[in-house]
Amino acid sequence: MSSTLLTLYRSLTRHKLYALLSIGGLALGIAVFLVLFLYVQFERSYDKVLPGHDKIWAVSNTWHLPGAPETPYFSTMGALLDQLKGDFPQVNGTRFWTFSGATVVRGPNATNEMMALVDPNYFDLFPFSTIAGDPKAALRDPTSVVITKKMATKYFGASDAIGQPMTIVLDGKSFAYHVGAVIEDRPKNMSYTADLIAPLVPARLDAADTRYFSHWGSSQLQTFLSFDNAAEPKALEAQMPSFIDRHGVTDQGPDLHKMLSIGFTPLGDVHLFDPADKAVVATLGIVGALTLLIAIVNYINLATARAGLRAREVAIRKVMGGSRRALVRQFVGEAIATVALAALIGLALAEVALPLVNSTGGTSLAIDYWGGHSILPPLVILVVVVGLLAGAYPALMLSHYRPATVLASSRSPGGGRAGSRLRQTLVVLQFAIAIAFMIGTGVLVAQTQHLRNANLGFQREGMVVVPSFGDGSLDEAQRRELLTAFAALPGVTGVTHAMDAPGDDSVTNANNMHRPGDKGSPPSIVTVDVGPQFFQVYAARLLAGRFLDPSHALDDFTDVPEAALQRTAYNVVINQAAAARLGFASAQDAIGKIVIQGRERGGDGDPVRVVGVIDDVRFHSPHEPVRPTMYYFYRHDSWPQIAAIRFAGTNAQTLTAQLQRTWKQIAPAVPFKSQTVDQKLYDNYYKPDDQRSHLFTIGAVLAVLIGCIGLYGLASFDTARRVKEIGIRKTLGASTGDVLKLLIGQFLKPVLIANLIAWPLAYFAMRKWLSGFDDRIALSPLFFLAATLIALAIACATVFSQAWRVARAEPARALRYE
Amino acid sequence: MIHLERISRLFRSDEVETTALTDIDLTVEAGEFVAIMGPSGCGKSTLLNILGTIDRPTDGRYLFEGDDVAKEPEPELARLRRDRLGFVFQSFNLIDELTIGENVALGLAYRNMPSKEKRERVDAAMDRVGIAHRRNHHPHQLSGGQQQRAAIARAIVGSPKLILADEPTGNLDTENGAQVMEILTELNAEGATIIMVTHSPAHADIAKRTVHMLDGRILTSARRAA
Repeated sequence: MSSTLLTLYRSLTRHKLYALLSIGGLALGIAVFLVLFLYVQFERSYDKVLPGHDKIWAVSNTWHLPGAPETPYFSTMGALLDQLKGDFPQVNGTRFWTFSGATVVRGPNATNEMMALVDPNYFDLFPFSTIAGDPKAALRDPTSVVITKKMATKYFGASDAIGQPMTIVLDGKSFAYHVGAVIEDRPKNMSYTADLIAPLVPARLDAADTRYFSHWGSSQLQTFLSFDNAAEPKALEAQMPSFIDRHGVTDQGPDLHKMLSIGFTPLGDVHLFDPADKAVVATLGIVGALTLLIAIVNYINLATARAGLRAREVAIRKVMGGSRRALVRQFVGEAIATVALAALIGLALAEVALPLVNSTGGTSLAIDYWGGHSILPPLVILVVVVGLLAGAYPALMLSHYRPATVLASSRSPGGGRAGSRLRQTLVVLQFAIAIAFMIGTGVLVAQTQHLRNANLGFQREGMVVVPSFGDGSLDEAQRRELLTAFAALPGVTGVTHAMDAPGDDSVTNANNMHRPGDKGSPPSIVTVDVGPQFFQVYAARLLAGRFLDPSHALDDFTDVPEAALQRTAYNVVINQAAAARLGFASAQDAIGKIVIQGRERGGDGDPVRVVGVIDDVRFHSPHEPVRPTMYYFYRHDSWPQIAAIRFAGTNAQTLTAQLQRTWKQIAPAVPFKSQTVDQKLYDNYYKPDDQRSHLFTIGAVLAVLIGCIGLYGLASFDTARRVKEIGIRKTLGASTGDVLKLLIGQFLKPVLIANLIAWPLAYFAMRKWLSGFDDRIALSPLFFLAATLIALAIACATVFSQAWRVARAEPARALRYE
Repeated sequence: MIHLERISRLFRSDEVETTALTDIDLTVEAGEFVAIMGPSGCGKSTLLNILGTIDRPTDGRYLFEGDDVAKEPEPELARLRRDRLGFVFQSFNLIDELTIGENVALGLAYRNMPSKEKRERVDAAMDRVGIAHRRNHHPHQLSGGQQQRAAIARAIVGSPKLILADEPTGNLDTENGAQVMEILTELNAEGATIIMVTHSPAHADIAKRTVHMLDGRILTSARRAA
């Protein structure tokens, strides 16, 4: 063994370039694989870190409405659990209601925290490590709150938090709590937990207004059920249609089960429930595995190529009496030791990369060395398997040669035709993967760019939204004062407010609408209340008619009595999607037409008249289509609304500071929350895709790099082996150009063949990925051509320096070369 | 045809400077058959390499058919080798991966010529040296004599004016050596100029002139009495 290590050490230090290429490439491959493997493991571990997660199912609602996407929502009506328990006494479950806008008031300071209101049995289903107090007992006391360690440190420092008072404002109402227990901080891969957890007492909350808390069709919170085995939720699911019809008839009319279904999903499957998310995580896993595969192929390739150059050493060892078995042992031993070295370097690279990945990806990836999830056993298996693969071929091939033949031969055996064919095949495989990655990266980056620059139907630059404007603690006077003060700030060119805004703070309501005389199933249209200047401030594009304007009496819905709305058609603006859904031939065709809102409980709902059609405005995810929308004008409104401010000639930072100052003067008790539209859209909708495309790009670039390392190594061995041949060719009159053509052409052939594999692979993968976006780019052939050209250019550049050196050498020197 | 004036060749490595050739003056007329003799390391092969433009002199003038080729750029030299020179080596220098037919065709690979003509010329050259039946074999499947005849076929396939042979019989037994010399004599009789390095006095005798070298210099240059 020690002689093996010594030979290995000498061989590595003598052939430094070879050592760098083969070990470096493999280490890089192992590092990429480790990081992506940890990422995939992290994404897949969501909620599975919870003990007993396999006994919990999340309840989802799916609406089957014409014109609306059929996406299951993991939020339910507040009283669903009570109604389920009423019908099915065996049901055991708990509810979880998050308030991202809970405000902790400490003297003059108000801070937003993530708070959840839960049923008293929450900790039975979601057990957490307790640091102090008894969380279960705490939830039985309506005035007690359970806080995380982070909160305890933040608000109470080193002193004992238990029993300390906390004033928390929820929905504009102030509550006096005391700390009942302190639990461990929530892990990043847990969905249903919060920093402050208090008992859910619906009667204490405005938001739990009983009308909506138990209204079928509304949704406020998450409901979880506990079952012993998977058969039980299945059996219960079968009874849901009749349950829906029994309870929902009052709110939604008969046969509600045709429009709404209730499903149960294992808690561990909720995080990656969206097929698009699942596909992205799977893709990253594949990128990691393929990068490792490229690196392994590379390593084996280099090892076998180099082994040919050691034929003489093997022959001499045999002459000296070395048995075949001893030689095989030596080669395999060397290979395993080299791979182990690469694995160690790879591990170190991954450790260096992880903090970076964690900070950009919002993850908490870490390599476990000990315990159940230890990285060591799989790594040891990897080392042994790759070592065996890389060592076995040259070991068997070389130890099989007759020493006399090798010693008498003027040139080193390169493994013959079979050996070179194997290497060519491996290069094809490597480049096929690399080209597919390049196409993928191109499409990914182009799509991400497209989303950031796409026309959203409004002008996203130079705008700030203020979601805290909808805080329940503000009164009508304060809101009006805020709007006036905002409008007076330097640089502000327009101020408006509406129920909808870019981002996910909006409240979404929808109604089934139809044109008079239509008999088909009425499409679901989103309804949005907007304030003055909404269309102008957002710079929406008018396709036909006009914007809503308080100077027209019938434009304004403010304080109009219900009876008047039934009698008179008030004016609305719709978007293009709504015009199409309602069956208008064109935007112009919709102008002046009547639309009936709702067709429930027997009769028709209120009529409205379309006075304007605007281009679709995309406030929400680029993955989903812009929903058909109808806009109603209100001068002021008590509904939670989001303010929007357009500015010019100042920067967002200065403006935000001014907005905050103004806010503090007018509403000091309410935490101010604002963001630029650009940032908000990015954080809400573009960031995950962006982060994943970054990860993918890094993986792809490294995969291509490793492929190049392999090609470079192969080229250097191949040219070394062919120096004499090139001398002969030059003696026969081949010019430098002829030799370059020969050497480079030989490496371009496998790269070109690789395209045949890469193109269809990338085409199908990227078509699938793009289909997850409503707003997407076309899969242009340019991506494919560009990737091929880049691959060829990279291959040329990689091989060129080697080929150039050999092609330029004096033929006489080459002929002397042995 | 060939005129060398004060040709020198120095080999420099990091520490050592070796003089391979010193002040060589040599003239070879078209149609001559010159043998170069001398002990190992006297500079025979270096001289042959310079004559074949696969090595450059450190100093001196080399006129080939009136052109000073010592300072020609590499592409010009490649063209010269391609069109006017043929090489035969002691160790044959056939390419293992190619068949005998392909090896011979390599002599025309870098010329612009219709492929039909190339094929005909390759066939003729192989017929000429008697290895046409080995066309599809690989070099290692042939005897030394057959390999050297293939190498000669490759050297003559382009009808060169000058054939440079570096110990063409050095790796062959007597019978095969005699066959190779016979072919070279015939080629010379047909008008090719031949310069051959050899250790064999018998084979040197076949040439019309023998040049004796020692320590990088020419000692004597004697024409055989007709």
